[in-house]
Amino acid sequence: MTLAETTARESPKSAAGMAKVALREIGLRYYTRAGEVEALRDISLDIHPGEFVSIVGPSGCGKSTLLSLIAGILQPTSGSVLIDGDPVTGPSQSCGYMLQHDHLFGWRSILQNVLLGPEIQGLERSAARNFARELLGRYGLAEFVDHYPHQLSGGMRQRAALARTLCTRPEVLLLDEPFSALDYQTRLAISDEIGLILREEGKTVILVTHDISEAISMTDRVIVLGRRPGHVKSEHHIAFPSVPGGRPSPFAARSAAEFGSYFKVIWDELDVHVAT
Amino acid sequence: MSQPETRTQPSEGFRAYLAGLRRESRRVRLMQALAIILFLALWEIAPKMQWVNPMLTSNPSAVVEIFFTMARENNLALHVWVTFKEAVASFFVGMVSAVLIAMALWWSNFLYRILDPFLVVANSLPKLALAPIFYIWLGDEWSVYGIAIAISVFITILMVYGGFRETDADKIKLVRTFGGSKWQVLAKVVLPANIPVMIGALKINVGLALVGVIAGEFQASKAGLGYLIIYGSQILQMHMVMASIAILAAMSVVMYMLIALLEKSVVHDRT
Repeated sequence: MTLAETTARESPKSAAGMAKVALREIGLRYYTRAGEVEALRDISLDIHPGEFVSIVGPSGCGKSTLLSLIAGILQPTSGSVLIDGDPVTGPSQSCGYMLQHDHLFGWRSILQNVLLGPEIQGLERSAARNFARELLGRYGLAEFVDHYPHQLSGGMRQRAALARTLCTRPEVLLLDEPFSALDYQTRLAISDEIGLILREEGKTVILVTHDISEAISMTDRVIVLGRRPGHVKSEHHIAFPSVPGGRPSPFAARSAAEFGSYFKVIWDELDVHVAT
Repeated sequence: MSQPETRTQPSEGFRAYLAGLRRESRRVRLMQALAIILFLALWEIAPKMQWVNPMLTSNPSAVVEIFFTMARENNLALHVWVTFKEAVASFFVGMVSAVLIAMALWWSNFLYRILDPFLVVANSLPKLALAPIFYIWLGDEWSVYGIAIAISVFITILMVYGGFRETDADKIKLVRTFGGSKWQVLAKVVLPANIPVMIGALKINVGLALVGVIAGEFQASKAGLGYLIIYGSQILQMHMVMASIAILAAMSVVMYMLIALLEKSVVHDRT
């Protein structure tokens, strides 16, 4: 997929101004016996259909919490989350969530794991089965449908987890540091692969990560969150005009000319003080 | 890939390594057999040589003999059946009710907070102290079940509930992101993830149910291996006591092995 094609697909909808996911002045407080914590303050964001956005920030800035709010498993204290203009009041079936670890269930075969979502949502069985097999086939796991998770490598497990997420046909994908548990090489390979898959599927994707390189190489826009309470610090549109043929693959993007300057800017934004 | 590399042509060293492993397990089994033979021989010879009083210790050949005599004259099969039936039934009832109660506690933290101190006291109370009460309330037959269930149920509730609580929060979150209800969280994650915990509880309960059943039979019953042991000791028939204990040991091994088989068929992998 080239940048030109991507833009062609997105632009009419985004021009219409209807955000796929909209956060309106989100605030979140939670209470424990130890006291009251203001986790998020006044967060407003528009994410357009087909856009691939990343959220980076120091640990504890509430990036994962933000995903839980969009997924509807948590309600904000103030403000609202809109998907396609409709407020989210409970777990939303249009969202797919990918967690840090694959969390494949050891007692289910790979196929049964992928069918977890359709099973919970009561989708039609045989259609779901066919789709699950199709997805697994597409991700090179056709021979492993009846295997159990412990028989698969880390990268294969992560692809199975992706198939599980996509099997309910979500329009919005929420990725919560989905590659951070993998070793470095697998991580580069699988993020490259999954990045391409998600672009081909034309999904709206929100990736939470603490890895700046991952954010720059995979996504169209990087949103930097600040800490205590979590707030939007800055946004960076990512493009690689120096690379011919449009948007480079995540792997190629890492060696593009613009990569270094994006990295420097976002690194400074994150304001990391290792010494203190 | 998690499987080790399998080579078509195992090397000399690898074959030697495997042979070494086999040799060692053969030696372990040989030593175990020797230990049993030594024990039986000593048990047989010591009373015969009058090193110990044969009236007090009995001996293997007499135990085997009385086993057949009892089988012919004392309706041994009935006694074995009674104890077995009592143990299995209490085991089953104790386990099912404990899992149901653990589910209720998991469902409502409020309920857990109310019941927690009572459960802790009930668990640490020596349940055998309740035997006379059960006898008065339930009579000679049902009190056996009462004691056996009381012994196993509280520890099982605490074990299984502990497992439920420890269930990976992210796996629960995963089900919730798909829009799963609390029932679905229970059915799709909490229960299946805790099958190993429940099987662990089953293994402990085999022993506990037998303790309860035997104690109950000591108290009052008219049949069962516990009855035979008490009866045998009262008439100083040590052969009968020893034979009953041997059967009891065999019964617990068989029940334990059945659970091990169940475990093998249910838990095919753990990551």
